[in-house]
Amino acid sequence: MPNNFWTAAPAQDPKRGFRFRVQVTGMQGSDYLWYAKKADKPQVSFTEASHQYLNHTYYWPARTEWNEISITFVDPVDPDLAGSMGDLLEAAGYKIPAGTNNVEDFASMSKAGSTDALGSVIVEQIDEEGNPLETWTLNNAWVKEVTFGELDYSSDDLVEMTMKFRYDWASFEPSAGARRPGGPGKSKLFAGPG
Amino acid sequence: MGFWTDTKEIIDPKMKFRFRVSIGSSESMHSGDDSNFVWWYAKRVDKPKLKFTTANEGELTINSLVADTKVLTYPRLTPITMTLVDPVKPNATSKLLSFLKAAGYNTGNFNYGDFRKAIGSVRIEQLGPDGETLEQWWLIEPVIIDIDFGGLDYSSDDLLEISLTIAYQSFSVDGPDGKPEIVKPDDIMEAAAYSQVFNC
Repeated sequence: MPNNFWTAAPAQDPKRGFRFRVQVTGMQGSDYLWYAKKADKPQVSFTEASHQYLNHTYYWPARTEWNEISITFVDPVDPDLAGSMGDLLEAAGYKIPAGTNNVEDFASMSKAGSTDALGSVIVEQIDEEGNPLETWTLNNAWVKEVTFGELDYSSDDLVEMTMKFRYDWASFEPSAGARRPGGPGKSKLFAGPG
Repeated sequence: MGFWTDTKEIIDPKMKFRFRVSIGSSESMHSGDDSNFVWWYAKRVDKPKLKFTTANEGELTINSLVADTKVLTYPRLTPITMTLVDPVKPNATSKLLSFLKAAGYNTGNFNYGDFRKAIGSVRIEQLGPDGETLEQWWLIEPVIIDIDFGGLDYSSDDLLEISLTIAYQSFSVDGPDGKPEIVKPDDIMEAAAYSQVFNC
């Protein structure tokens, strides 16, 4: 039996839901967004093909889809998160309707503009010492939805803002020396060409 | 016998989303240098279609035991349609217009032969789960007979689509590895050896 069974002397905590940090380089460079409250890890799903024969149905895995993830923030005022999100949208190419006289009046959001504005979106699962256990990077991520929060006289809660991210795929980097059940694993997954 | 319940050798059936279309130089594609000819911006494409027409359509055979005997003529090859999106780089619209330009459309001297030559060959590959080619369909003497450069619409989020209709004189099919080598479409045309087209 492996020596890291639950009954062994604990050498390391399992991954915990509250041990994480988030980076969105387009918002605050390489600094971690300490006002992130909640973050989804990437989600992947597979569509299916099916075939009926008599009263039986057979299934095959088909296409892969990386699903949207959300990150919820509180707004610490300094830095001004609402303003920062507005800057992101503008940098992504959103312009309020202003007329039809200039080329810029016809500009609209693009994938290049949106992904450049956002930069890298990185969600790290960390251990009890702050070391990364796994690093998820969203590739070609862009902001699909921004919720600026909700106001309520009966609430004591901090105002929460939510950003929903769409991305083409996510790369995964485990901690150095991480073992898979049954043996060592690769250093990176879904890293893409290059 | 392979059956759906076979658990020893599970093979994916051919699936609609596993395909690749290449258009361009037949010589290069046959030599394996097809990287420049894969139209990865193709969204959907038909495989070739055969249609048999009945010569006696609507005729009644009086006193026959078989009331409606079909007299078939030669099969006709129905043009296929293909839908592209336009990734800008490469510019699919320009690519298609270049075929017309090469055929002399701009100068008012449109030449069918040059149009054919500009298009080159059309290959449709059915792929397997590992990306391997399960079958290759080559359209022989393909020619584009209809181009729809798409519609614009302020209420739509969809990518612009370009629709093509491609007619052809015949086709050849090559199976997976181990099947007989395909006869090049150009050779078939030169020798008028249409009996060789179905290699699969």
